[in-house]
Amino acid sequence: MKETQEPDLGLRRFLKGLGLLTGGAALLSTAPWLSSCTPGEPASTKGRKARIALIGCGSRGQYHLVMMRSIAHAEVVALCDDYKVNLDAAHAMVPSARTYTDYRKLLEDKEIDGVIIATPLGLHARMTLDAMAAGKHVFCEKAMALTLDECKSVYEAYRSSDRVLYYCMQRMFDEKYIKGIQMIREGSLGEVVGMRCHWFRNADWRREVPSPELERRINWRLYKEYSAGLMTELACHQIEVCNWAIDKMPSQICGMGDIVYWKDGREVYDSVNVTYRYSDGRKICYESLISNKYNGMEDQILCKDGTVDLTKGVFYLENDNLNSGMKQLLQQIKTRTFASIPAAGPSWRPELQSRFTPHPVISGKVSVNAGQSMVAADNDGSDIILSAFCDACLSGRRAENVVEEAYCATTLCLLGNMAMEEGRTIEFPEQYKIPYMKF
Amino acid sequence: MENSFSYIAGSRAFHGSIPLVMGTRFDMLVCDIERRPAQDIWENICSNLAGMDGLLSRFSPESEVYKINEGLVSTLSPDLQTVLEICSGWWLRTGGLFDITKHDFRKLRWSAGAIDTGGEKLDFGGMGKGLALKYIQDLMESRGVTSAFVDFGSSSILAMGSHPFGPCWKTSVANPYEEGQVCEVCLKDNCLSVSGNRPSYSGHIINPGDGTPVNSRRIVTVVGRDPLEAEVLSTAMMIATPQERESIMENFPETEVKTYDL
Ligand SMILES: NC(=O)c1ccc[n+]([C@@H]2O[C@H](COP(=O)([O-])OP(=O)(O)OC[C@H]3O[C@@H](n4cnc5c(N)ncnc54)[C@H](O)[C@@H]3O)[C@@H](O)[C@H]2O)c1
Repeated sequence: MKETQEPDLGLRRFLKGLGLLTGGAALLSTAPWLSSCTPGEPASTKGRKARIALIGCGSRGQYHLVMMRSIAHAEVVALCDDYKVNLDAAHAMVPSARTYTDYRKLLEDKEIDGVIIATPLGLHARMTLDAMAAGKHVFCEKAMALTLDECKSVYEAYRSSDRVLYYCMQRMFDEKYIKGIQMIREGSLGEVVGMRCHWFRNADWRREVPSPELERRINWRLYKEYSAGLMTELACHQIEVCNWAIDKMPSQICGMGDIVYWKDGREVYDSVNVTYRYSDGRKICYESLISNKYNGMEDQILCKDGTVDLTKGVFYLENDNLNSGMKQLLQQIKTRTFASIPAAGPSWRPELQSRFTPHPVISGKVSVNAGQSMVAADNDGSDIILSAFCDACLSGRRAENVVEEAYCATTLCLLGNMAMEEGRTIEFPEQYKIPYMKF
Repeated sequence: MENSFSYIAGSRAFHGSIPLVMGTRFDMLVCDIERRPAQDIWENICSNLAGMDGLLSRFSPESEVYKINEGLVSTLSPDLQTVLEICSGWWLRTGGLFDITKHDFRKLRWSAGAIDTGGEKLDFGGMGKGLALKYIQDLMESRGVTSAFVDFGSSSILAMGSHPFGPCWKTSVANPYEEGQVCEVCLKDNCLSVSGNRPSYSGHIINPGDGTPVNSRRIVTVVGRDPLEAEVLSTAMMIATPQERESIMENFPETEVKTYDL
């Protein structure tokens, strides 16, 4: 155990910015998972560093290693990868860390408090289960698992364990999302009437392969053995946000998926359109296509009186009052003139509008993720969620709802694939329902 | 609640705005003031508007009114009780035309700490802005503001003192049905409330007597000293028959009401 100063500054700054340090009861009801990392936890955590291991030293794993450098209450003590190139690269970043090629050996290491799992999706469930069984706290990349049954076993293992488990759904720790969703939930934009999310890129989603036998390993995203394609890699984050916004689960799923452009032997769709329908008729309209990037990435929550684009941290009003009267008045003051102010009229209200003005959800500089990187976007909450996990490794406090949200989002993504493959509308299957879900 | 403000040092003027509060937009211009006191006033107003919205909003699941309307609680906070008592007074003074239930105010029963809505739904949309402006008027007076123009959703305007380069705040009321204006009013240490329909938004004022929406192409302007009074009367005058209008207005000799049928 090494001495350390204050809990991570990044995490503190984040919580302070949200107003959580000065009592944010309403915020906690919007994002209950934050309660696990608000200060005031057991004093035993003071001055300790969480000992963290990384399993899967690929691009995301290495990104986490960079983030770990600025988390003062944790240190990376071990690394594991069964692909030497990546293990070496990670080791060069943290020379003091012990290295492993078999993650089960790493899990036997008693000097590890928590593990970060950043391996291909097909390995998430097994590694998570083994790590929890070995008494480790776990921070696993999204999505939760490759199959519905795996999701269920992980969920059940979590329920019967006391270990901390996080899924890297960083939007849940991103200030613009939290504040935006709070705004939606408070109803200041009227009732939520629908959701539109999309993620467009123009890239083949491939990585360079040094020799052909490594194709499936390195380009695991393209093959069903390891990956569930666009739904789990991209949609997962966005579907979670929709459920979060209205605190409900959709009950019906239908869609169409195809390989439209990248006919290169891949097995997963490069074009998906999926509709999720909630029992009250509201829908998520989801679309992802990776051969055109014009539309970028957006998570739009559509309300009766306005739209929140959570990705950009802005909202638009259906009926914005441009308030030309006030503008003219300000002009008069500046030019020292006196004239009539065209300000008054029957209460400003619904009016058809063709121009929408963006209003910021949070003040200050907002980092916007254009969604074009396969690895990460800075300041998107990834650093905060990782920091919160490290904090939890010390306090042992589990984050409320994080696993449940990941379970809901992942199962919906997998069911989206099923609906596309089978060409039918799927009702959410009974056997995969959990008490957390509100249909 | 998002808000923004700027201080125009050259003119010693402060402009603050909130794009969305109580379902509409809020703008405040204070003249002849230093930055610091103006900002204090602005912060006070922002937190009060947020508080009032949080109390009276029909849409926010966190608000007391929402919870009462949904039948989730039957408790009554002292703040909301005060507001109800104010509404009760206005219901009486308008002969029942100003009714926050839009139906039958008499069904509401409350006592300290408890309310029974009798199945009615509370809607403070017709008085919230007036109540807020009344608060702001008091605040500005106590802070010695001598020149300010506050525009709450274009239908409720508060004028403190006069325009720095003119004898009053000359305000025109737009005609919602065609280009042009309905009238022009010179405001000075008083306020203006406008009620009416718009081509795309009609029938939001309900006659509690028979439950019918008022769909006429009518604009009512009320100019008076008290912003809440102006707000309430402009709504009531949309509904009132000519006889009712006369008998109600007898009690408000200082207040000027004009009706325009367009
Ligand atoms: N949260 C996000 O925004 C985000 C962003 C990017 C990636 N990810 C997720 O991160 C995970 C990793 O993605 P990536 O882009 O880094 O992939 P990658 O292919 O670059 O890295 C995966 C690494 O895991 C290693 N690995 C595979 N099998 C292993 C085994 N049995 N034991 C040890 N190591 C093994 C690979 O050798 C590779 O180094 C995926 O689940 C992905 O969805 C999440």
